[in-house]
Amino acid sequence: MEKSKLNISNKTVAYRGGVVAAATVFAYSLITMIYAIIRSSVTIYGVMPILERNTIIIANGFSIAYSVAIFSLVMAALSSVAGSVAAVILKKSLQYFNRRFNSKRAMLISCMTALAMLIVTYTLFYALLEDWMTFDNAETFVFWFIFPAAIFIAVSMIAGGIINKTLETGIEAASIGINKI
Amino acid sequence: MKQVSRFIKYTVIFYVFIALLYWILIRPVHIKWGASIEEINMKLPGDELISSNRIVSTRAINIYAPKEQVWPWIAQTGQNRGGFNSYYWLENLFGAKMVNAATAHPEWQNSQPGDTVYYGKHEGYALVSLVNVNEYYSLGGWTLYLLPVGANNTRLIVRYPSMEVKQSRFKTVYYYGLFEPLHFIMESGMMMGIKQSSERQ
Repeated sequence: MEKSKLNISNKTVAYRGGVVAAATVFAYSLITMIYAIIRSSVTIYGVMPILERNTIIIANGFSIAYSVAIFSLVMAALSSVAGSVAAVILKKSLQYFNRRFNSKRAMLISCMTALAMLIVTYTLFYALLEDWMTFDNAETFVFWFIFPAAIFIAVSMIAGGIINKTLETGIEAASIGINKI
Repeated sequence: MKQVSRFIKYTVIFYVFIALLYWILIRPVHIKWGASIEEINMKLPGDELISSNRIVSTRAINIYAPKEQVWPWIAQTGQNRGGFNSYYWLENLFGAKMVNAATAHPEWQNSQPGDTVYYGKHEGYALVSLVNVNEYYSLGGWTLYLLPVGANNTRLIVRYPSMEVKQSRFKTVYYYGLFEPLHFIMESGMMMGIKQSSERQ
């Protein structure tokens, strides 16, 4: 077994994990915001007479944007903590299970690690939010749990690939001053 | 990584910009959306139920239908009845399990004070406080009032008292940060939904 060439500090990985998690929440929130504004505006457009339409479309749009902004700022702060922990777990998994820096294996390990983290997290959520986490509440379940899970797995696989490359080559490491062993 | 950080920076700047515009331009409009000065100052049934530590909004909309045609949609308001005539797809993102009735249901028309009206499956409920057929319907001061304008048109005036925000800092932050804009979205959606259903009949 080949030993990892580089020692990317856990602090750096945690910081980057937090940043990526926050960015992901913001991206999801922006998509949600745009979807909600467009869909509600189409409804308003169909109901309101032409002279009364503009005020309500603008007020409705900004109210959606404001609500999403406030909520996503709170969620980004919370998610950045979770992202930091997840990134460190991902790095440890790669160091332990992929000592030859195989990129395909890194993606698979990242995917499995993300799935394991999701199972643990969702089991905890299920204990608290059992009624919400069923397909009986399809929209709620998909929006709050299925889409975020899919995004988390995808981001973890990409991040795993980057961490693996960094561990292997040190290219990324050099730019941020990661120390070689 | 720099691009990710830049994306966060610009998103936060954009959100701060949205918040400023919302507070300066939008909130003063939506708190009295569609209502005239007279309607804002008008005394409505249910006002006596509103305590002084609440924020009160008054909104109004023109409905091109007689009040008898509007009333059935108001009478069947509630998640456990005909829905809220608002953006059900948005409510259902929060587990409300909302279904807006496509027609007026006779079995939901006889609302009485004390009836339970659910806001959503996992949300709270209110008791009907006051009902006067074809005129007003109040849930603890949240009053939907029908004002006839000629024989065939109606003003739907909606007065909403917030939760008791003035006593608690947490409630104040929650109310202004999230609840108030969301309530405006849903309430204006409800008013437009009632308008659309009434005019379609």
